[in-house]
Amino acid sequence: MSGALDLAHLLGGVMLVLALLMLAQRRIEAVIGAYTLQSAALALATAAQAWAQSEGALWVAAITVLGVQAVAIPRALRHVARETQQPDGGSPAAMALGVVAVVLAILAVRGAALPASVAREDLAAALSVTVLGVLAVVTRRDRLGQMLGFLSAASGCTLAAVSLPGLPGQVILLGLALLAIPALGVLIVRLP
Amino acid sequence: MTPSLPTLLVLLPLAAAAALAALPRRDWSAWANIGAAALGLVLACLLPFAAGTPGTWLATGPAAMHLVILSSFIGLAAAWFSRHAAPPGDLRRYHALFQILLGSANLAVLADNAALTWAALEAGALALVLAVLLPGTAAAKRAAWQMLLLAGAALVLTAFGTLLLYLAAVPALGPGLDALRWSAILPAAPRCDGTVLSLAFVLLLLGYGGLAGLAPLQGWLLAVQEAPVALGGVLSGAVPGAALLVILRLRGVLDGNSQAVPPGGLIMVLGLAAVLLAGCGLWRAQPERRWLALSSVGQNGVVAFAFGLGGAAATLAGLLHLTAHSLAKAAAFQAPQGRVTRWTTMAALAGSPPFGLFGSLVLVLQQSARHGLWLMVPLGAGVIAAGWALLVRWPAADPAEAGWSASAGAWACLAGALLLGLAMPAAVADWFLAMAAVAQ
Repeated sequence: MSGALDLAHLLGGVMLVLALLMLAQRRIEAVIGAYTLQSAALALATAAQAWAQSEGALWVAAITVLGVQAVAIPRALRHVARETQQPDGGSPAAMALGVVAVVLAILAVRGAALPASVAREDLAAALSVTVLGVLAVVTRRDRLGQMLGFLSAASGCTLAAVSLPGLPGQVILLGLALLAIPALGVLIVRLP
Repeated sequence: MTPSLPTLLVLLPLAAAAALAALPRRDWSAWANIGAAALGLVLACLLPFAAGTPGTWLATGPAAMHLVILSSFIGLAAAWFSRHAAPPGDLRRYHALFQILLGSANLAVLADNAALTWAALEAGALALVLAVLLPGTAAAKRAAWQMLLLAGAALVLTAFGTLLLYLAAVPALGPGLDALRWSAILPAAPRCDGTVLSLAFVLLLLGYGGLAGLAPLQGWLLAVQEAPVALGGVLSGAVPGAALLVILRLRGVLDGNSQAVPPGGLIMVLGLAAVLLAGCGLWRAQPERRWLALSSVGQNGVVAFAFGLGGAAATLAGLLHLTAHSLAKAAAFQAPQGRVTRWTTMAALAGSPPFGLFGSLVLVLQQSARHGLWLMVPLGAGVIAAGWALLVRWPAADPAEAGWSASAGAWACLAGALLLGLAMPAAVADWFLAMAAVAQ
């Protein structure tokens, strides 16, 4: 059981590194690739939490994340990117800013007295991924890249949601509701 | 089983949206929209008399009931107004978005669940993005994008903040739905985890502050002005109103916890920044509707400032200001022409004496003086600069009056603002007092 939780922490770290990469990559294909890997890590982390908490709803969430975020969304985004000719975006300077944001997020979580069942590492990683996603929305110049920032931020919220104890299943839908924002964005990108 | 009144108030607009999306006839759909809005107002006015037991998902606090009645009233005025000001072309999407906005605003304030409040505000914000897209021009597309980025950032922050709020409430209420219920969190606040609660508060305040039109995410309120006027101007005030109510609730929760950061100062800083931003920005020339929206930023800042001050009197002043400003601003967006209508509206909006905004501004200033005379200086300067700019710089309009029918909604809203300022009947005063006593 603790092995599964260790795996979840490790995957949280992997998601964090990938979120930093998404901030800095110039080409949109590379950003989509990083997002695909990040989604796969999120699906695995969710599965690990499902194993550790022996919670059926989380298994469903893990499979949904894998199917929607790691397969369907990247495919659709690649299609849109080919169709609309996106400019390059992202910069190493934004990545430096991102590192500062991560340090701040970790400091913010460090002071909190958490219940024993919630790992500080999970929460710090989730908050960092969310903040980095918002930072990508602010700093990237390409529209699809900005929407990928929202997608990454939504993954951060999902990571937090699955590691909280006994969160009602309806609330995990919150992470899915967040996907409506990038969906609407892609709709606007594709408008003539 | 019959659905309760709050449930009806959420479901009626959504059902009306579905029906109006299917109704092809232009002349009927405007009347159907008015009918649905009128029915909504009747139901909203019944709320205070239906002393029902709170449901699992919805609850009716005094402030929530007040905001539902207010937005239903403005909704009816806007529905009447859009009979004259609807955009050309197919109206199905327009009317559907109109009703979705009304429904999500009602749900946001009636929801007794932090996650449901969030979801309702998301629905409202995204409906506004779609409303901005309605004209189909390049400018509309740019504005929709700007709005999506700003409102989206606010929604991401609040989503994470909502999860942290749950985490903070788990030690007091145990895992499960209860740890998300506003009505359960408020009394259990002393037993919540103070540090997690503080972190949640910062994220929620930034996010919901943004949805309330406060800096640094205030830009969406300006961008939404590309939408048709009844949606982007008159109705869009419901989203900031609901967000301000959430901020007031959060203040109550944080106040109850001794380990958490004191919430008042942070809320006041955000509010004051918005007031000063509007005080400076209103002097710059810009399109009229963006200019009016910027004045909303300032007035919402005054409301937030009053909520930040804390105490029953300041909360009362804030709620009064929110009400009077919503009415005056709804009238301003509906007064495109006619010298008399415009002058009256402008006076109401600038906070001149016979209207409600004057009384509430005096109350807010008086309360801030009680906390420290120095506080009055920046607040007073910002408010006066904004009011003066309104009087001096509102662009001139066509002097010919619009027909009575087109300006009826504006005059109804002005009458409401006048009632609050001039008469303030005892029943209304009691209503506000009760609200402030519970909500703070």
